[in-house]
Amino acid sequence: MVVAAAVCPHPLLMFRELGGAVDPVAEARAASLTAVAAVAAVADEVVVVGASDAYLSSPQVGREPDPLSIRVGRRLLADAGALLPGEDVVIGWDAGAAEAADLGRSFGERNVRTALLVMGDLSARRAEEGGPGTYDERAAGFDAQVERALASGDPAALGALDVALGDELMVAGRAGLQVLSGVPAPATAEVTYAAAPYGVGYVVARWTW
Amino acid sequence: MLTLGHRSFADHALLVMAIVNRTRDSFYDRGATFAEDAALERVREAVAAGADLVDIGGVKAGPGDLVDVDEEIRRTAPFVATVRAEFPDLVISVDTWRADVGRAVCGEGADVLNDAWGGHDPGLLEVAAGFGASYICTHTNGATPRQPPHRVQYDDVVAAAIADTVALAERAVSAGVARDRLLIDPAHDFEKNTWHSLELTRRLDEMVATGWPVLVSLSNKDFVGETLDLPTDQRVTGTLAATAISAWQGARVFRAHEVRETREVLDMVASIRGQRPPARAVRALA
Repeated sequence: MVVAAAVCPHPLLMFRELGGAVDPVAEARAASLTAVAAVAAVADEVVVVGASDAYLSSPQVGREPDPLSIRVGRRLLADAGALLPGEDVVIGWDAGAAEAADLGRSFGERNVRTALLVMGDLSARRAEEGGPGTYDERAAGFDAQVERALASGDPAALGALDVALGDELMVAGRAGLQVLSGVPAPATAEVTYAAAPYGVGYVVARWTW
Repeated sequence: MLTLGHRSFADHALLVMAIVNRTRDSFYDRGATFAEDAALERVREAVAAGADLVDIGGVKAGPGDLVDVDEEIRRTAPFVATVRAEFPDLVISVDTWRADVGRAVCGEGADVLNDAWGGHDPGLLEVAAGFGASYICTHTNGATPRQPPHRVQYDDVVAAAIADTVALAERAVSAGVARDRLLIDPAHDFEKNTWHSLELTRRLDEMVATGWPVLVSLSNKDFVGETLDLPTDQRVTGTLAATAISAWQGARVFRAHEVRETREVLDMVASIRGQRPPARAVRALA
């Protein structure tokens, strides 16, 4: 059964050694580590759920087999000292809402207390200048819709996200986030961080049952 | 031996390629030389300051004003003709990824095609071959022109840059570009983060060891800005440090905004290496 879930962003900047002398994502990191530690504390295992790489400006060159979402999730667990058993589950970045929901439902069938760490980046078209994607005025609204669904613990609202619009807006974590549409509504829900400091929407949230 | 236009350069020669932007929105000069008269004045100043070649560009590298083929040709081709008329021996390069633009500028006397987007338009190689032009093979990891890098990852960025630029150079040879008219460019910051650009600089000797002449384009770029936490107008010192390190490791051509400063650094490096006598040495010698 799923007892807790955390949602965290997965930019390369979450690897602390890549950000330079002053942590450029200090707030997002602090919120993420708090959320990860909290959900791990009530569980017997942590399953990292992340989408395959999407919207990279060129293909990754090299041997790294796992998508960035999973690698960042694992690193957050290590940085939070959350050394529980568990596994990594990759969902295709373009998987449909139904497939994502089915995956979410499957976690409910596990016979241990499971925490989900869902890696879910929002739109990469948030910055008017200097972001990875061209600015789109619809991006902030889409991200706000996700943030509201997470803050109110509303799986159905995540399931109802517009898949095509998410793709247009370079929402790399859309499929991962929709995995949460397949779990029951949580008892508590909160968003502890939501911002787009470098043109990509980051959100940190926590659900408990 | 490196051949650019009618000119041949010895293997130890360090060349300055002056940036001349006929754009409204390039990140450093922000349109200062968009007008033809301003651009021509920029060429005159660059030549006087010691530029060996000029690199004329009609499209900002990053996202910005849409510039279609016709507009890019309007910005570059007549200007190449003007520069050629005033400076018959100057090596003229044009920064473009489009074959149609390459054809137009070579028709007006351009000597070098600086394909800053790494073979995105394969027709550009054919143009270089057809006109006997030189061609610069840059590493962009197959990125789409003008798209900013996003979460780009390499096991070994130097190995990737070498593999792609050398492959492009060999393709150019197959297409008919003369071997002595090819350069390779790791393309700092193009499809790279700051760590990648620093590593390319640190390990530039590996690129030099391929035997292809190496061009570096370091000038005031974001990897300098992020390393020193400085805005675009305060990156000259960092640029010159990277210039010296690159020259020491064997880079041959340096694409730069600050021509005089770059020329001084390269002359100093050449003298330290023992390949250029001091301009004047009288201390303790008289």
